[in-house]
Amino acid sequence: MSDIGHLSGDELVDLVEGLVSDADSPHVTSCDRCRGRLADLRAARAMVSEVEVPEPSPLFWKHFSARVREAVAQEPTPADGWWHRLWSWPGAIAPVSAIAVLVLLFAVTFRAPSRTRPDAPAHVVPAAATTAAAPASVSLELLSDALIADDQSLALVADLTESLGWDAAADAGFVSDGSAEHAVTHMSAADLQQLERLLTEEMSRKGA
Amino acid sequence: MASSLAWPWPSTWTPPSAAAVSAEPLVTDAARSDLSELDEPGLVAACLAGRPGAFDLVVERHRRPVYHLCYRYVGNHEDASDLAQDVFLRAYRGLKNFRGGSSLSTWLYRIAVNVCLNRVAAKMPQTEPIDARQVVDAGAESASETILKEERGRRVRAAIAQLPPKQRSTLILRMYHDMSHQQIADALGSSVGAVKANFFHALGNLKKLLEHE
Repeated sequence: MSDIGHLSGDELVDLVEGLVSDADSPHVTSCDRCRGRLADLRAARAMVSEVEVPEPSPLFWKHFSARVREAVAQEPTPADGWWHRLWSWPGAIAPVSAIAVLVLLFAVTFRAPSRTRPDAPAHVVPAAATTAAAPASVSLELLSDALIADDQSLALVADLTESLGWDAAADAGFVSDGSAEHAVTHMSAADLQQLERLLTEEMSRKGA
Repeated sequence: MASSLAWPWPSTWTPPSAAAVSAEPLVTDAARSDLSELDEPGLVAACLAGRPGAFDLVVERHRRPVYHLCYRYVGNHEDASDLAQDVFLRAYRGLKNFRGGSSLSTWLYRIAVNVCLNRVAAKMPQTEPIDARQVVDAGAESASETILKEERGRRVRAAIAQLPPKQRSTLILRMYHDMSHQQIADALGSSVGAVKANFFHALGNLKKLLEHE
């Protein structure tokens, strides 16, 4: 009840929709105002309920489905967001390879100068660092012996991981399926040659 | 605010090519039968997996109520069919976001209400003249009764079009789509109390609008 004892909007709606019967609301029979409001609402509801939507011809539905089908055909599959497409095979090989090359170039670029100075003392690589570098050693197989020999830390890593194959590295949890390392080590012969050429050029430039 | 929500209105409807209409989707009867046995979550999953014919089935199941809802907003066949197509296209794009928290029909109604409100905000609906309507089932009514009924319908549709968006949406979903207060609240992103209040005010305002004509 509201408005000094009159029925609220909620109560009137329940009566209009038949969720509550008039008999269960004795106020309606005793209050002219509420009875009038209820009659108005019921009249409006009756007018609204009479209005029908003209039914289109049955042929329309066939045309409609065809239109939707044509429009949907222009769309990618709903689950194929850009992220999904980026990482789906074989679409992922290009971006993953590019990222792997960039990471390797970045690492080589910023490690090489301090390691290759002939007057610099030999670095002692802590055991923890050696362990952390192990995954990279798989990719270092791509480097030539000459390049490794120029860098003592690389040579150390190469020695430590000489007998470490891909399966052993995977078993040790250093790599996982779909990782950048996986992509790099599964490149075609042509891609490997190209990667080696790029790395060789970069190392030569830094070493010069 | 409302106008900022408007999107570029699609160009006038062009019928699909004859080849598109005559060509059934490349779905075998067996595959279609398999799809038709799927429940709602299964059908949604089939759509997301890109199974041919899955979204066709969604359209087939829901096209009529979606079209009717759109018609209630715009009052003419051309705009209603364009809007209904847009609803399904948006549904297809957003299907990956459908979590199943409500039924697929409630989710489609929600999309339809947003699409229609944007449309109505961008362009006042043009109701069809009586003689242009596609009245298929006139039944045994006399011509004069049919004309009077159509005239009453035109007045009521015009009055509904003047209601505030929430009241109009609540009234349409409650009266013509038999949705519960809770379902309407889900579709409109409001509460049951707000739905009942909007319904109450919608009926009251309609009464006043129709009296003033």
